[in-house]
Amino acid sequence: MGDARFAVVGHPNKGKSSIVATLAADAGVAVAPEPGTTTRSRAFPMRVDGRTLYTLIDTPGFQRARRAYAWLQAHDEGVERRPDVARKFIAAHEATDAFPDEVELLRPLMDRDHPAGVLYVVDGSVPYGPEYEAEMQVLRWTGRPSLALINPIGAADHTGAWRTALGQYFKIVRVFDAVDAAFAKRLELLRAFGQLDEAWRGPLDEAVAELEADRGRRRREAAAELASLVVGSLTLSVTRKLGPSEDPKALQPELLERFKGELRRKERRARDRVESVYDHRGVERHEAEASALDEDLFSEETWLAFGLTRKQLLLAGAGGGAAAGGALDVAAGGTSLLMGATIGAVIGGAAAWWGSGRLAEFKVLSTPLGDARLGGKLLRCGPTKNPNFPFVLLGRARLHHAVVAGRTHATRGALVVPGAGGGLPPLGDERRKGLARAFRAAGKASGDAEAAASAEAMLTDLIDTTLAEDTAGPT
Amino acid sequence: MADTSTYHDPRHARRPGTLVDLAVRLRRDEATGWDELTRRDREIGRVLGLTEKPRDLRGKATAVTAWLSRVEPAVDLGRPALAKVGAAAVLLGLLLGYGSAVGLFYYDGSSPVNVVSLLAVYVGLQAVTLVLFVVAAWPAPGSEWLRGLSSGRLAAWVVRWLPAETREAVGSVLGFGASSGSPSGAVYHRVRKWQVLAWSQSLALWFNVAAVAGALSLIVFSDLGFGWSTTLDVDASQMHALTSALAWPFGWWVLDAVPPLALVESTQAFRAEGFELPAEAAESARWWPFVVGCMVCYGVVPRLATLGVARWNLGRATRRAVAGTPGVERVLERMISAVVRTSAGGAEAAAVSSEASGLVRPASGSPAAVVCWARADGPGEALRAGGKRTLDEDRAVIEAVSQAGGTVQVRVRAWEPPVLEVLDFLRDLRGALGVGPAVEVLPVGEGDVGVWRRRVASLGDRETVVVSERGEAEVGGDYDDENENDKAGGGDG
Repeated sequence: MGDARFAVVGHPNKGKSSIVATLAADAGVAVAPEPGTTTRSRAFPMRVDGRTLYTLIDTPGFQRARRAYAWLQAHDEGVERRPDVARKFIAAHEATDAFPDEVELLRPLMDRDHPAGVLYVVDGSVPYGPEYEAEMQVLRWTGRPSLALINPIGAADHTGAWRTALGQYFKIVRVFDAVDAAFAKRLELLRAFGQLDEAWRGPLDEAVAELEADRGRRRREAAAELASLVVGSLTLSVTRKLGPSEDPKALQPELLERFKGELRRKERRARDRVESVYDHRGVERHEAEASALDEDLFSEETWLAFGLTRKQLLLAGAGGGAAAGGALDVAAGGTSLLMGATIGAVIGGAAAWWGSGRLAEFKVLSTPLGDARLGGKLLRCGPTKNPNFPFVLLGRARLHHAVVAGRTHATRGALVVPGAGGGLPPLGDERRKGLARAFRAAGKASGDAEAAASAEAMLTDLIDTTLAEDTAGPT
Repeated sequence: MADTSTYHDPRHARRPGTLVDLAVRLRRDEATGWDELTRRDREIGRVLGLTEKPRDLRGKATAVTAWLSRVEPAVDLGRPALAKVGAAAVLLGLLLGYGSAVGLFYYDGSSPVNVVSLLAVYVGLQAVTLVLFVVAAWPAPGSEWLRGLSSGRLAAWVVRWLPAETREAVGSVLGFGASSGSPSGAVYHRVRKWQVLAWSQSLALWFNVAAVAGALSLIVFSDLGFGWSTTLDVDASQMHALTSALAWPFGWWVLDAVPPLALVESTQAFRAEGFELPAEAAESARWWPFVVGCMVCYGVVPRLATLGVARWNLGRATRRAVAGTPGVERVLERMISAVVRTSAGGAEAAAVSSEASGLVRPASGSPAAVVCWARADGPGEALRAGGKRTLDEDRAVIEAVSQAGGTVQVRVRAWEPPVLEVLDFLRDLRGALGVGPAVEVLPVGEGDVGVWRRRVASLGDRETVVVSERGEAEVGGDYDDENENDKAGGGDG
């Protein structure tokens, strides 16, 4: 198998490290506006169970390209010997300060055992400049297969001029926005790398397949986290011991706050886990103003953005109830004339309608083993029976997931979340009904670990499909 | 289906301690990054030879138990914790059993050991508790209240003495010891039910074993006199019928175990006679094989059976719970999935940044010469250097401007970074100009002027400075002529 290696080279500050950070999904790559941020070549091997399929190499930018090209020209021994001259250039200067960056970037290209292919990066948002020609000439002397990437860092568009210029030096020229590249775009680029050398195509196709499978596993893991969040939230209750003279009503606001606090903690933990799954661990969640994630889980705006309307709730509840009632019809062998489904739909819809107003109910419980001095009573808040709550919770989680999954590792700074709704595809009627059923199953699982596990498994499948649809678009 | 029998003893998946340890492990894993989890679990999966996810409960439970035993650092809280509760049940059973034997077999010669009392405790009570066990074990709903009465509930008191993490883990799985306000109120009801019943049957078994042992020790090491006495209207023939029926299961092979009618008649003690036996003590002692036979037959043997049933069901329920625990599917998935890594590992060292700061001066109105570097915009008479031009052409430009005798303005494109090639040119220009004439570097167009300023400052030449056409203050600190050279960090080239 050919050892596919690609050196990302170019002028300083043209986004080489950003491209490496995005393709290698490595936020540890130093990306900065200062030229010369990268001073040493750094390898990013793509490994599957320890087996390397390809290696990306981040290199320093050209600093003295014209001088290096002049040296090569001065030592020219004929076209067929140019790669040897490039090696001589490295040998002549690796112990000097004359060309530290050029030596460092040329070394992986001229490696005798596993020479790398060239990925030449330019910034498509600034005008073409003639100083780049010396760099391209130096790269030509290496004799390595090459591909040019136009990485538009800013808003201006000069890709046309760049395409024309680069087309004279490179067979393949691609535009690749390192910061905003969707996952599919990244795979497409990797496939393009395979066009550089026939021997690299196999490992790169395999790498693409593995990356796709890995992406699916991460999404599934995220779905499981969100299912766990939803089930954990729907089965959550908090209690407080009641003194003999204490008024339960007076203690309700305090207990409700504790209940909400627990839910918020669960949501935060789930977000951390989802970020960890996509290797964005520790990223700052800057809760920007007007961000949908910034709003508190219990704010009116959040519920308006992510909750279902009463009509939708009614339909989802009725659908779930009808399904449960339908099971009775099946059991009755049709003799019930579908009354089970009809009654189930009415009950489910009515429950959704009437239950949509409050977050959690309070109950005073007697405890047989309770403290006699305290009267053996407990005040309990939750679990929530509000049919809208899990839709709100899931809506927020979907939005957060879409932002995290779509974020490249070249992106610096806090998570930026679009406004309420976030452009996520709306849930279809069938999905809403399926979710409503799963939410109800979870709600009934309070205190029963096996029932909760079963509901969680059901929800994981539904959420996984939903997340797949969420991220299939532009992210 | 994956063959899971080769890599681990499947019996481990049936132990409730495994379920507790699994809960602890999964909870601890919540603090571990996904990257690390996938690497760890894939490695374990490879060591175990797991190539595909088991589809059945048994396979899943076995695989995840094998995984659990290999995760470092090992979690071994559940087994010892539950063993402590089990040992407490055994100890309590032994104490109660031996105590009951000492009490019921008490004989000081004043009154005989009453066989009716022995039968009440070692047969009657056993029968009642056996019926309760059957009802409690029955899967029908509504039997929970009965399990609440089980002696296994005493486990909750033992669990209270366990270390905090163990107590919490046992509580999360079985519900014992969990604080009432805990949000993790969900428990494995089937496992809990059979665990409670297993403990209660263990207590009952050892109660009976200790009672038999106590009875035998008293029979062997003291001279007991047995009789029977009851306020009820029971005559000797009825008593004989009862004892014969009770002795039926073991009487056919332990012949002495069936009390003859004559013995029953002769050992009936009456209140009026001060409970004195009409028979000789030696004669009355012939009751003991029957008594011990009953204790074994109606005490020990059924409890062995019920303990076996409880344990078998406990194992089944545990295995089912282990396989169904949320998070197990994810563990199994990680064990069989290839670890895909694209990162270099570890963060790149932070780049050295030049630190010079200050104000950008306005460009002088009439420089003696203007050089446009690499197609930077400039007046028509400007000289051109850099870009496509050769190094010899650059040198010619330097030669030309050095004759101008005044400030030299070098116009550069602001959006391009100040590479070493430009700095080399400026250094060579200063060499040609000598001390005196200023060199003004003017970034033209949109770009990061701060980067230019810092890099040019790194040359250490106070007369080579970055200027702007308007002279704008640079954010980032006050300009300090005296300290400028000290502040100028080395470029990272």
